[in-house]
Amino acid sequence: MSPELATRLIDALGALLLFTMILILAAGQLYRAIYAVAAQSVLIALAGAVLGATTHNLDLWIVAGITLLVKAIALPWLLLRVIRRVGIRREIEPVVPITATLAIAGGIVVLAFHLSSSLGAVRQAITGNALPVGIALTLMGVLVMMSRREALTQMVGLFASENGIFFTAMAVSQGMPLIIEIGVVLDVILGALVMGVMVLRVRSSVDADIAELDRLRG
Amino acid sequence: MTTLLWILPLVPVAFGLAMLGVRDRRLFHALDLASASATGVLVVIVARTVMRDGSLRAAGVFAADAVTVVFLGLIALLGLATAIYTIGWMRREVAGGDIEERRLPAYFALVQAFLATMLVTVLADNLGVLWIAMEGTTITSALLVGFRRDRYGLEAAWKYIIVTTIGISFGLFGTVLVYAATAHALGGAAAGAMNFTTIAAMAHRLDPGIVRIGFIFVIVGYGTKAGLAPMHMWLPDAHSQAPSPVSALLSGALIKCALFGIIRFHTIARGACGPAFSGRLLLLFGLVSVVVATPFILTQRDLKRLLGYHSVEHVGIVALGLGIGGPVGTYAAFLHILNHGVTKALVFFVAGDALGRYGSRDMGRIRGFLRAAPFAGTFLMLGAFSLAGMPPFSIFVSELLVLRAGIAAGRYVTIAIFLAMVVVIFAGLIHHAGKMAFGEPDEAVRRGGEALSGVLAMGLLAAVMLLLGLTVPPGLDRILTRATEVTLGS
Repeated sequence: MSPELATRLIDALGALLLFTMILILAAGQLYRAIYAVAAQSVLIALAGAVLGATTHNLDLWIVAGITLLVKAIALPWLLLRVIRRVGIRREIEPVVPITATLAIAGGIVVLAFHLSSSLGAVRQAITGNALPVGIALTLMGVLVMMSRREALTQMVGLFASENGIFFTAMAVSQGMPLIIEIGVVLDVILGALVMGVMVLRVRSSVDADIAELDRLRG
Repeated sequence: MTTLLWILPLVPVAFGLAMLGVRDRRLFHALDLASASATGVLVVIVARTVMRDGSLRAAGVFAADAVTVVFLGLIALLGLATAIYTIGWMRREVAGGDIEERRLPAYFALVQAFLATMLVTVLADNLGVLWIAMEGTTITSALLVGFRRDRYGLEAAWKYIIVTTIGISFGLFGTVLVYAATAHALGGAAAGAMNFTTIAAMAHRLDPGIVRIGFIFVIVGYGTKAGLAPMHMWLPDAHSQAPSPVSALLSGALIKCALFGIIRFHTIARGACGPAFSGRLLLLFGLVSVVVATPFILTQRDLKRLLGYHSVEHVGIVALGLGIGGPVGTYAAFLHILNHGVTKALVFFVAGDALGRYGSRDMGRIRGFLRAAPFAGTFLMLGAFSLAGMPPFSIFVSELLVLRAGIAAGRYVTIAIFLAMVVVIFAGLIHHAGKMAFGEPDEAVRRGGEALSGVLAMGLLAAVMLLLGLTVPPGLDRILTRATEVTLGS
């Protein structure tokens, strides 16, 4: 694949990634947010494959494959399964109103483009505008985690944020070393499992949603 | 010798796996003690080798220098003390029905896994491995925080895992930026571009703008895990709800491991952007932590939350020491890491005993502790005096060093605020401790019958605390001086 085509493709994928992030932020229903983060992971995998095909870097292909299997399939499946097991409320009740969150998200995108201009030195020419998109995804994932109380929505935010870091790593240095990427994914899987277990345990031991736990203060 | 670095974290892993098949309670404790002793012996060997050869490296994944040795020593010492303390503590928990006998394998194996992840964190040379291990500490310890499965424990565990995971993803982001800067300076993604030893050696060639942004992400990220204010919200919950031996490890060792991450990036940032930038940020976070913790310490009623907020203050003091910088400030920070780790673990052991005796964590209900438990009561007073910063206890020494470094560096405003807060906290802490220690305990309180293991564990830590207050042994002094040099990049 020619570098120009790769740059165009990655820019297009970046735009779609931002779009999925908006979908996650605006989702009023839990399963929509989960589908959106799954779609986002597919896009990340595609970007990895494009970059891998252009630079003939086998590691990127492997990372793309792992992303597809773990983040686009396994983790969303885990979330949907937890929903079915405990029958949690499906509606998302944000702490901050969704419109306000979207406004903050707009600010984050501007900030990300601003920030990435001072990171110019390490930007890879081939990945086009991937750097600001990666920064924006990371920060918006954190925004989701902070502005929602439901356990599963917070987990969706976590996955989105990790996606952002992967995309950033691709933008600045064609990804982290393979072994580190694998270790990070392993941590995400383990973390998601532990969080899933906690959601189930809160349901079975104290008969509540995690969003209802708010006694520890002061 | 380099294989030692691989074997060291594998020791708790092996013992942890073995524990999964055990059913007898005595055997758990035997394995626990054996694991802690083996770790301790290996740490001593590593320390001796490092002090002889300067550093120890294994395949670009693990490395040990004097900074590593400081943290390894702390983890090994607290691991041993906790293993001893757990014997008596667990007997009472199981007898009281607080922990079911069938869940013991999970508990002991998780503690071993937690120790292993902490060891990997401080042994990591590759900054990616450092991050992976740090997230590993969150995952293993979150399960321990929520081990009781009651409402409060689960709330604390959830808050802990979510907030620190958010924080730590900032840390990964910062790591990626520093890695990119290094790869750029090397002219491509070369092997070793993620290794601390490589990066530190060529730090002056890195793009300062990128390292600056990377360091901001890292200090926010690992600072969350270290409990620096204003990212400390999860800390008092998690440290107070965890089972007491785990609280001792969380406050004594784990938040120090997060500081280890910050120290590594501090060294890189000093090399790339000069000493002013990262030092000023550390100073800011340190000062905010000390100030924010103070009112919560004064008005606290819950004994273990008090200790949690107090850890925020002391992490702040370490950050102040690093921020003031120079040989004295940095040395003071390392000494304070050890002093606070040992003392805080001691006081959490005491708190565990008090909780068991009084069946309450409300300090208003804990009365006459000296009568009810003469040994633990004495250790409470000793620990409280030390934590408050009274001479001749160890924390006084490191706080004095921070003061001296601050005055020498001309940071008078910072030092004035710091001093004011320390004095206020001193009064508050002695007031709280005095009310608990003196007076007549209620009839209902379980008197006497102090477990020998508990007294031994507290005695061990108290002895170290008193020793460090009187003098810094020459061997330790050499390690700390060397660690200071490594951190300052000289």
